Amino acid sequence: MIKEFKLPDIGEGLQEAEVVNWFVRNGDSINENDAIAEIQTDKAVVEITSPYGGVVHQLGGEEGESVKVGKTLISVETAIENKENEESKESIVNKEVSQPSASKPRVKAAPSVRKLARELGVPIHEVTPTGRGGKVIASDIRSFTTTVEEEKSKDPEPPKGLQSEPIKGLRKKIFENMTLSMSEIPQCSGMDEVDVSRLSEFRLSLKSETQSGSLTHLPFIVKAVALAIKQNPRFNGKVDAENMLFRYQENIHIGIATATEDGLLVPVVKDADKMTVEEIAFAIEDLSARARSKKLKPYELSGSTFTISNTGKEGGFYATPIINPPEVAILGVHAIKQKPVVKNEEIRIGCVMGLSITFDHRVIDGDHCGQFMRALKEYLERPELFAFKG
Amino acid sequence: MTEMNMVEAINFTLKQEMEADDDILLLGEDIGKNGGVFRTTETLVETFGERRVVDTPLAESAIVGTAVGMAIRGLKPVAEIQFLGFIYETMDQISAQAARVRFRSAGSLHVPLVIRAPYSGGVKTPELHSDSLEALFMHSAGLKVIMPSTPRDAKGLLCAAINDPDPVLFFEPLKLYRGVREEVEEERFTIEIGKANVVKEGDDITLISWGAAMAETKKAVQLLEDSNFSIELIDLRTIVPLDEEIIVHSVEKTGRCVIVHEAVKSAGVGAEISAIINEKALFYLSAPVLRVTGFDSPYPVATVENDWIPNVNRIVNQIKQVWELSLN
Repeated sequence: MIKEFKLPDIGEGLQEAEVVNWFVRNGDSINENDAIAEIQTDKAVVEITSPYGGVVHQLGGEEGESVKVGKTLISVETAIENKENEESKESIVNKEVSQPSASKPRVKAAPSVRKLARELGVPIHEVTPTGRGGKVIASDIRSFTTTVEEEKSKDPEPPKGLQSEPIKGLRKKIFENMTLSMSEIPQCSGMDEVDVSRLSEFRLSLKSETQSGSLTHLPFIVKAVALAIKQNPRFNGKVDAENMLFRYQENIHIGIATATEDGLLVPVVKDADKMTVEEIAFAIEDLSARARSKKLKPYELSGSTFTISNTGKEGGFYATPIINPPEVAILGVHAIKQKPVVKNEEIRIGCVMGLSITFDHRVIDGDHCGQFMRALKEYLERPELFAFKG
Repeated sequence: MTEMNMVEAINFTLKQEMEADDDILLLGEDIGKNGGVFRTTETLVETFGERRVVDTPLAESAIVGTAVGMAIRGLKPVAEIQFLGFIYETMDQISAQAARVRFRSAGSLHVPLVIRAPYSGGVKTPELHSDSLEALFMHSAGLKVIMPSTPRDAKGLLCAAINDPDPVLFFEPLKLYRGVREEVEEERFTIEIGKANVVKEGDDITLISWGAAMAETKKAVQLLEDSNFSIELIDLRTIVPLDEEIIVHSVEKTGRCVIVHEAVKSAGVGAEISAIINEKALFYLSAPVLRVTGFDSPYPVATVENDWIPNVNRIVNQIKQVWELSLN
């Protein structure tokens, strides 16, 4: 009999996932638990195994296509057993009513607007809502059809020299997440510079002591942030707007925004405050390497309580990072430049790094931000504190 | 045509029907010599005698119980309950007996009974004199419930009620007894029970009301018409059977609906109408169906009753609210 394997929610309320790679073709024989496909989830590529052994009957989509959670990923012809029972069950479930699709996000719209959308053949979940509270209103449906009409009536030849590409996969997730962040959170950025001359020397002095490939500044920064958070736990909170609650979180899990070919991923260093700098260094190396090869597990990409965005050497000296919801702050760390530093009425050349912090101004005030940055700078300017306080 | 107020129209109709049919008789407290507390039966005892206009003891359950027996045996009693709030005494006679006889006897017996009762607030009556209790009877299958708002409707509907083979409750809005005068045909005519009246056609919002609440509702329509809202006003006239066709048709046209009634909100007739719209016209709705009603409390003392009864402001606000909800 033919058994269908429906794409499960493999993490965090996944709604659909792109098939990156099929390992099997129609007619292939497979065993139970054989890997059948690689799936791009919101955050990582995950290998899916088959719960049935048998002959592959049909694949649920082409490579590059998205499969919705709850829809058939693969159907497998298995040995005949319980045929009658299964069939009668199937027929009751599938023939009587069409299954509700769990995959499309709920759209807020009045029944008359839904009717209008159906009449005009407009996919209502693709319409940009302009009504109060994110509601799709009748004019949105009409302008959607107008846009489609306009696009249809346009010259099908794209202008020379210009190409377009679909916003999909990871880019689409980033797109949505950033829109959500900027539309829901009133954000404010603070900037400062920190003299990391001693930290740089300290780092070089420790390089030979570690097995870590290249001991960068980042593990020190992660540790410093974790310690600054310990002193300022507000920065490790999250907003529960529905219940009007600000929740303090016990564990300090630092997300590290990492550039990959497809876009930004945020692997998470869990319990960074309890790790040594060297342990953090190993963790970052491992996570970034696997992020770039898309081999991170969903749990390694979730659960951060605070995010650090490292813009690196090319990233300029300041930026305005955007908060990774539902977190309440994000730290941007930037290029280290040689700059004149004034101390004790003397000018010397120092290694200076730009810091930018963006915070949720609903729950964090400028004063809180100042205290957090002062603590952070203290650690970065006096690395011996890692040994003393960490 | 003669100009009449509602009391006059009812008195006129009772007289006219009693002249036409000897089986019709009236029962109630103080309805004979006294002519009824609101003069609706004035002069009838002089015309038809005490066998057909029966002054009863102060015992509502006895009035209705006797009337049910008379109706089963072929008479056409019109019983008066002095105020609708006193009808609780007769719930068993009405809901457990009159409403069921035809069903219980498989159609061989009928109860051609009319129970008249004034109701509605705004006239500073004491407790139990103002309650709107139509929902109780809507919930008792087998009864018809009529609630006119104009003298002409009162005449046509009362005539239909008296000649209906089944028990009919005829609730008269106290506040409108003498509030409106209009031209009414003197000759016999009936208005079909179960047929709503589209008082005014409009395209933007369906406004549904009946009985006493029609007065404030009409004022609200007037105000909003001046601000260019196109409102379709429906006077239900009959609560049971409900004119679903007109309601659904209107909501399909306007996509918005506000219901106004004086009875308390919970499980009121407005809730039933809202549910019908939900079942039959959901996909035409641009906004939720809203209700303007009395509050979920016993009818209050006279000093605050004007805040309790749906007034023009509350009605206008809800209409504007439904309008705004539908736009964004």
